[in-house]
Amino acid sequence: MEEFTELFSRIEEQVGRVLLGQSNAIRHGLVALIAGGHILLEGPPGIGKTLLARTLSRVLGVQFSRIQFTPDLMPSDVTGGNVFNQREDDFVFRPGPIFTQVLLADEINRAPAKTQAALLEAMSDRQVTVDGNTRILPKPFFVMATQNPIESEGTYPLPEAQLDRFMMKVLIGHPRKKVEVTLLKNYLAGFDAADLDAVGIEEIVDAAGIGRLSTLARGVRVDPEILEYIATLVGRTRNHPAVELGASPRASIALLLCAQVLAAAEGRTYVVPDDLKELAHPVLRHRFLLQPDAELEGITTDSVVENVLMDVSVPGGERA
Amino acid sequence: MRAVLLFLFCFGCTSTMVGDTDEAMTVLDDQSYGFCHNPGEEAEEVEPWCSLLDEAPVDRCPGMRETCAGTAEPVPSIENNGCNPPSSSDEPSRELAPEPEKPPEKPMKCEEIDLSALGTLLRWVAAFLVAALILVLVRIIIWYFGSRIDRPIQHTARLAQDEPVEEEDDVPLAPSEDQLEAARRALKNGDFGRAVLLARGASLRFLADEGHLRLHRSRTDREYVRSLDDDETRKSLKEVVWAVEVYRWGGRLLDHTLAAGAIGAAERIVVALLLACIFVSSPLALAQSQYRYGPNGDAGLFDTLQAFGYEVTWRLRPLATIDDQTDALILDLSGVQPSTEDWDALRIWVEAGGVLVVGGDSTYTFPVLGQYDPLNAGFVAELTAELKATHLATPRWPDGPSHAFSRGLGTDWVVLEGGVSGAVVKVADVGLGVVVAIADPQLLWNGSLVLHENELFIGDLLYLGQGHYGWPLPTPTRVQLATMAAAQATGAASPTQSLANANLLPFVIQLLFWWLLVSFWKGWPFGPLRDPPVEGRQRFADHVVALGTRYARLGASAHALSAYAGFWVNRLGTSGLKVKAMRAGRSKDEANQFAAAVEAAAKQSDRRDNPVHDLRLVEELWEITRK
Repeated sequence: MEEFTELFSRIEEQVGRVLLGQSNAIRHGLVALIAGGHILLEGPPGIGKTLLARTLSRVLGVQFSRIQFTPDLMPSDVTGGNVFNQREDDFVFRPGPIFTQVLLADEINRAPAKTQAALLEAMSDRQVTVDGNTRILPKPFFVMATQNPIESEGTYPLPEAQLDRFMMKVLIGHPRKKVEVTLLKNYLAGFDAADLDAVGIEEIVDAAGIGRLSTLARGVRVDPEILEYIATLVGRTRNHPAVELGASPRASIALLLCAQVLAAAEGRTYVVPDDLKELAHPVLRHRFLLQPDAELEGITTDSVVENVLMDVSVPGGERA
Repeated sequence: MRAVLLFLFCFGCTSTMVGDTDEAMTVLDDQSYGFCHNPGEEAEEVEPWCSLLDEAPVDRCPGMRETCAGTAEPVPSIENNGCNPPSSSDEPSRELAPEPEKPPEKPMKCEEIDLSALGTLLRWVAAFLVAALILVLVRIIIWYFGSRIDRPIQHTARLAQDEPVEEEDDVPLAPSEDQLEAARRALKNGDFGRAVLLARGASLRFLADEGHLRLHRSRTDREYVRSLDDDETRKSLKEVVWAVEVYRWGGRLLDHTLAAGAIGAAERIVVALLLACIFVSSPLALAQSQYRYGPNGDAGLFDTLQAFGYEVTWRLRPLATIDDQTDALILDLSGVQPSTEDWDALRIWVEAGGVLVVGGDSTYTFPVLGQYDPLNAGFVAELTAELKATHLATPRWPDGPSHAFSRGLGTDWVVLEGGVSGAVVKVADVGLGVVVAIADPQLLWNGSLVLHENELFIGDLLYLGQGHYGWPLPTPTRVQLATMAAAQATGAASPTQSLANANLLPFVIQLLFWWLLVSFWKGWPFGPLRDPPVEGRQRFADHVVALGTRYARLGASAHALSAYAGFWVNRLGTSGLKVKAMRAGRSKDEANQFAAAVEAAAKQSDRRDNPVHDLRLVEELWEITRK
């Protein structure tokens, strides 16, 4: 497990050299990637969402692609399609940008539902079907989708059933002033976000290494009481009075897998309740629907998650 | 209900009024006080007493002086029915002077039924009623205004039916020492897992009891660790928690070293904090042992006398009200300044058989004590030869007593003497009682009582007087302390006087007055819900119409519609709205029109016309979406 911890912290450190003040987003993104999931990033423009994806892919030594979702984006623009080749007199499949290992789906809520569905199918099945032919996507396949929380004009919000496919929803905010000053100093010193080579970013692992990390994480012990704790937490979101539709078992699985990765990252061979408490917000916040009146009153999913965490007993004690 | 409460209010006010007629009988009402102070009173009996005035200071007993001088008009005496003791055997029998117009006769103490206790009880009851009324008033105000604040809906999680009720925290309730002991036993028996769990319980329980942690069932052990301020304690708890995690979550079998380490860390937590408490409080503790009970030593005196078997209480009421319920009074003049009234009352009480132990200069009231002179530093006081043979301890002053009584050694009983005609502690008979005068009041202070001899001296003094010298003290002796602490209390004869002393009575009366006023205006409690009069109701309705019209003119209906429509467009989208409309029974075309109208309304919020249309659309949207 020392190897895992060392690699994990080196990746974090490398990405953190470029993306300042977003340690949580880096950590959670890495956890989701190693756990085999995808993340949805939400934050205002200009805070480094694209840079995070690019840097992560550089450090992990994997392919990177970016799709800017627009209202006129078609599914074939994402998945690719068959194009007639006159020379060969046949249709040739041209793979779309989805055929990559780290995909940044920028402003996913701007694309129409059909295009979103194409991406989301790929995310869950790790394959793409075009004209009846199924093509497997490369491994690892990690989607980092972004949403702009401010603009709602002309957007197509992801339906709840689709949101569930994202392992985590990470909220990124503006950096603190101290961080922003450091950022400016870096730019003054010649930093260029477009040229990561000049920064000297190291490649820590490759695609095979990520697979190995995932396997190591899967070996982390999870006590039955921890499993019960996970099930209780997710179950509480289903009968919470402010919730209309609670989290699905996919949420429980996501919590479990991410907790294992987090425990391994901290050098432990076992999951503790604190891992679940740390991951509850990013894993659960996008997986349930609030009652309309609760929404109107300003209750958020994060406050519901907090309420659930404070309400559920943590396992681990022994009564006299 | 209103009538009952008003009656109680009036009753309370009336019965709590401070009036002369309701005041308890004090020594000032006593016949002997009047004999001394009222000119002409008991003129027939005054003659044998006039010679005593030659020795007394000139301002003592002014009334009696006038009577002796013959300048006062004789006042007819109240008939003696045998309750007052005869003054002397050869005294001529008194003849009652005719009483032309006498003031309301004060009831003789021996004949009348003593209703003062009932009066006091009634006053207390009234005071409680007043306090209860005030509390009810405050409660009603809070309820009245509080109920008008809109509160957001509180969402509380419901437990699933099959889940048991959770307890507050999962840390065992047993005392930390017991858990630690159990942990050591478990370690000895080889049950390492249980040992570390008990070590955890001991640590967390101890930290919670000491206020360093707040336990809750939703908090993890690591959160407890992070919440500690002290680095060493945090480090120790971390060690315990880590061992627990390895055992509970890691599924590892623990070895003796790990378990012993965890128990050691728990012991460090408990012992370190205990020591911290001791060390933190030890300067105070040292101060306590030096000054033991506080800077003025009153509580030390209290405890000392209690330890010697006296029935000790604080003198909280004014000294002027002292009565035969007190056998001995200890008065510290360094903290209490009795008024002339108080001194008169004390003298009368002593003359009637009380024992007064007074620290400081009391020669003004008791001139028989002699002159009060300062002593040089380092003066050593010793028991007189007669008392050295008794068990009485010789008290000590670190720097020697500061003062002594210098005159009248021959006829008075000296307890402690020093130097030439210096009586540091002296006893003088006054009437039927005794005054024990301590020239240096420090002997009554705590700093002095730290010395065992001084403790013994103070404790044994009254017993010695009682047993050997016949002081009129019963067993057990009821001793009251009139010291600085007691003087700082608002001694009052009754609760209302206490209120008056604290100048709260006007405030309370004002509060009650306003309460009464508001209750008459609004009714009790500040108006039950009533229909307004017809005219008022019409005005209210007109007001609502005017308000609504104004809203319509401002286009507020369009704004509200836009917000509401936008909400549903966001949630369901256009297609969702269509589906909803069709499910509600609309045809496809109607559903399309409806969806388009809602979408248009969502976008345009600045229209200023057609509020009727807006309202209709809102109603339709409500009806369709709630299905």
